[in-house]
Amino acid sequence: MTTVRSSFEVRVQEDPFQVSQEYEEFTAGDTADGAIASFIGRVRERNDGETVKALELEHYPGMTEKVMMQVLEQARQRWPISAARVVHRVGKLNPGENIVMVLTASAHRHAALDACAFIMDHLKSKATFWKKEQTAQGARWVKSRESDLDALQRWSGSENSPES
Amino acid sequence: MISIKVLYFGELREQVDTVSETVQLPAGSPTVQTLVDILCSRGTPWTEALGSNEPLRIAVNHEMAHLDSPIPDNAEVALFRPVTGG
Repeated sequence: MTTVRSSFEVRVQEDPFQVSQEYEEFTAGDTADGAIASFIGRVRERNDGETVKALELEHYPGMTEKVMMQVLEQARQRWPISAARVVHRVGKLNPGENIVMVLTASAHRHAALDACAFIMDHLKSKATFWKKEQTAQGARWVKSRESDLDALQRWSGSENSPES
Repeated sequence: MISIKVLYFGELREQVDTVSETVQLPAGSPTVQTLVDILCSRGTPWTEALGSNEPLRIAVNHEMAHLDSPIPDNAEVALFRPVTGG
């Protein structure tokens, strides 16, 4: 008999997260899932041609968590994933620091990988976070990218349906 | 009149130099447009921040909304620019 887990969780926090610790917690006690997919987003030191000294992230408490849970629920309805976790940092971050981590668990790799990419693409354009960059030229708010919206398009067709 | 809470985030919060406030709207099915018109009637910096070509995003009670979305009494309305998380 295998243990079936159902764990869908989002967290927004100022503190750094430990990738290995998140993974250990996420998989603890589970023997049913053969695949864990992960994505980690980090602060890049260059953006739009300028050197980024630091990043400040803010969010909309309450709505941000709600939107992220909705994204996890959409992924759960689309792929046979048994668990998913998103940890997203806010506050001041330096280049090289982790911003966000997505974990997904499934019996097999394709569902875990696709769900992980789906969650990240939707977080980018749905979750209420805003970034401000500190550069040598001063501070500037990061503008949303058309390419992030384009990334959603690939999930709107039927070719990625869970049946395929 | 109905009373609502308005929150501002990110660049828009800096532009209007306001984190949150309580706003009175006329009774009779006010919409997000009603709110924007009232805020713009204050003049600078509201007209510039809300009337510019910069895209405006709106949430009513934590759900994304549009200019013609109704605003219920005691609603929490948030105004901000497109999101840039992840």
